[in-house]
Amino acid sequence: MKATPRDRRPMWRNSTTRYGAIAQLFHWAIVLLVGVQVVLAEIAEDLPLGLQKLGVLARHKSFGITILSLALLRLAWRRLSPPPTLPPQMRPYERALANLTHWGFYVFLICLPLSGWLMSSAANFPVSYFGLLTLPDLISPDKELVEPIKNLHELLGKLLFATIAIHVAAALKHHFFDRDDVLRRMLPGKAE
Amino acid sequence: MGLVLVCGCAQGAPTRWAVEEGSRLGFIANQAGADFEGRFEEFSAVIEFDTDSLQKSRFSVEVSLSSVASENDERDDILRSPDLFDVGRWPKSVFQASAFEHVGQNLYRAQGELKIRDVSNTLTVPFEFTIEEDGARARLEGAVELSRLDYGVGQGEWEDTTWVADKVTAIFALRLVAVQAD
Repeated sequence: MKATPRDRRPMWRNSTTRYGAIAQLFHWAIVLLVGVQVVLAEIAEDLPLGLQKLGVLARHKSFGITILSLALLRLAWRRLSPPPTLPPQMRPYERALANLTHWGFYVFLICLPLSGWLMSSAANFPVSYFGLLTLPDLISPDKELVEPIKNLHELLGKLLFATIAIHVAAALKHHFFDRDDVLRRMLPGKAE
Repeated sequence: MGLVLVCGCAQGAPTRWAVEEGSRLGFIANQAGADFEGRFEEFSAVIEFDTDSLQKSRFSVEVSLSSVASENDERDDILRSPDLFDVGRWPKSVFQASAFEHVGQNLYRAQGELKIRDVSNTLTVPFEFTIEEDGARARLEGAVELSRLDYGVGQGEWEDTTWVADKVTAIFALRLVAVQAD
């Protein structure tokens, strides 16, 4: 049996010029989960407190904790496999914006679930991860804190959304306007 | 003040105990797989109990279900609503027991009846009864699991147990002080 030829095997780690399979999986899994979260949050917002809302929020919390875990794992993976270098033709302000949005993502993807978890604790509705295990409360129940933490959670959501908008616009700019490989680096394909 | 422990020497009549501040009566319920605790802020109890006079002992506990407090106003409102406690029609829940069993050391079982909404069911409640060193105070603590649907707590959509479990644990920790006989 022949060994799989080198160029047939996926590149798991990042190279200096493109993202490896692991980084891509993290990226697109989080994209999908964030999409699910936005939908669930919208649905829950419109429901009166009742059985349905309980179910939607329970799922929203579980997916949120999944995103938190993935973001932390992704951060750890970044240590093991640094991202490709930014294309040389990028201007300083573009590099600054790129770094800002990427770090912004880590901050929001971690703080959003944490603030949600905090809110659940304050509201005495502890978080259960898909019914498998219950997370400890981050703080003791406190009615006064629920509203302020909820506002923070929603604000972080809006900031994440703004970051996503900049990120997507930039990716499209790179692809269609600059005609470089920035977008392609995060998509499955052959190494250069 | 001289509170005297009324011993069971007068015709085997059990001691009457008053419920003190700091006593707690509540429950642990489960939503979406996670336990949460709530309590009832208003309840009263007639506790006549003596370890040497179990046959004459009795408990009669009355709980104001509208006084439910689970650290979440929205949820408390729903608990009071017609599909759950329906405090408009049945504001109180009552537990009465007059048969007791000593099961070992400070452990006992009270056999009685619990009424929530318009449903009464027999219920055996295990508890621990510990008299303090001074003899005038005691602690009565225990927990008992029950099924909320057995009492009709969960009508309409709330009959579904997917997101709110059927099993609820009632918990109590009463601080008692012996009442002087007349």
